[in-house]
Amino acid sequence: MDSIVLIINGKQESVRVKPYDTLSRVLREELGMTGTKRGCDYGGCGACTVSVEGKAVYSCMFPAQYAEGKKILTVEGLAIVNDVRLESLSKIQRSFLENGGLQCGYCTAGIMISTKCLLDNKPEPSMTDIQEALAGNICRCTGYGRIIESIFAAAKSMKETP
Amino acid sequence: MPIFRPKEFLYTEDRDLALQKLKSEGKRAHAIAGGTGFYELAKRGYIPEVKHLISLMKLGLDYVKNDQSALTIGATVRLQSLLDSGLCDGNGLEAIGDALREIRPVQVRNVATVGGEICISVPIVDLPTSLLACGASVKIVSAENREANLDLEDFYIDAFLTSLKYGDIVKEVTVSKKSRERSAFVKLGRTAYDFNLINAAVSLSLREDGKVGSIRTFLGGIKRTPMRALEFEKKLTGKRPDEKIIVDAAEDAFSKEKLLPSVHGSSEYKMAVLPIVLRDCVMEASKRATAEIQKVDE
Repeated sequence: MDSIVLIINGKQESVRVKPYDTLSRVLREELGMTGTKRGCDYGGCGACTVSVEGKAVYSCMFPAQYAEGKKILTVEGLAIVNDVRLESLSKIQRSFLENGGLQCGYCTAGIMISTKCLLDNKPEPSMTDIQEALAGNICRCTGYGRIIESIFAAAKSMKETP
Repeated sequence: MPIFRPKEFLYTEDRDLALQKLKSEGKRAHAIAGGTGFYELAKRGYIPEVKHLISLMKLGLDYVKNDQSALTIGATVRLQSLLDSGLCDGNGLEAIGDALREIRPVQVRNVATVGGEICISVPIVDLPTSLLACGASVKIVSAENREANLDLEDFYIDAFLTSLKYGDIVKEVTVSKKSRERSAFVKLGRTAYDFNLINAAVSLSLREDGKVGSIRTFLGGIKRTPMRALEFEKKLTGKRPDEKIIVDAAEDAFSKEKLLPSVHGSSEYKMAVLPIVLRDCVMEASKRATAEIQKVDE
């Protein structure tokens, strides 16, 4: 086993990884960060989406060793801004809550991370931008209408008070 | 299901060490780049015997050389990075840009590499079809540090089987820029983010009378490796690119072919949609070639 250092939600974590470990297994089973969900486990559903250096990736097929020294954002870190944990939810989380952007919630962690990566690059996304960003995140109960509304509302809210 | 449990993940900057390991361990070792395709196959039980994963990601292959006459792309360039560069949206390389946009989702494009797309050698991927239509060649480097260029057309032997020997890796892929030829890529999948059922890429030039001067067509998903549509090309050369002519040429050219069936599409279904995919692809390439001629005339 190799020891690697990850920078997860602004905090350094040292963890021992096996040669075949994926980032999702390390996050969930070694670090106990179960906000990142395991769905299909081979890149078909998006529940495991995390941000690595600002880019959305499937953590179920991302070799853990590639994450060494990289800045990783999981759903647990959405409400951390400039290394300070907000007293309330982040704007993306609040928008999903207020606009009914989730039902069972299993896909939601991945969808919110995809949203974060999108809005960081495109603060005023078009419908096509959102469809492209969410193409790899499957929801089977909410339906995408409310999710898309939540993303537009989050973008608006972040523009008004960054 | 056999369990995937390699005992080593070699993540090194030492190219000689990586290639020697690939050679000495033979089928017990496997090169890995971004990892998206590899982990999907591994978790489905297709590569259980591998004991050594040899990462190519630190071997200095993350480069793009944009010369006047050609574009050379290092094996570990990420798909999203190549797409963002905009270098595949002109000079006859449009099919590559189209294919990159059709590889979804962004979670895969952010991680998957150009070399990985080439070397995985499965019928359901998109980038090789577009590279083949654009006349790509690959540079292979061996454990003995010998380098050799090979037309991508000669690279594929079968599904999961390429010309690479133990200890070889693809170092880079090169495509020549074109002045008159323009290209396009079209894919049909079950959903926008799925692998292809079939895909097509066409590179063509038009004569002054608007008829097809030259055409190079490749198809993916219909055989175990990408296939050049020579008969189709012959039927279209010298003809005006018209929707009916293209569909008739495709139906004639493939009437005796047995297309590779999959769980998502039978041979008959693929045969029914192939002429439509080819029609859209040739029409788009023609439109681009016409626009280029008009631009030169102005």
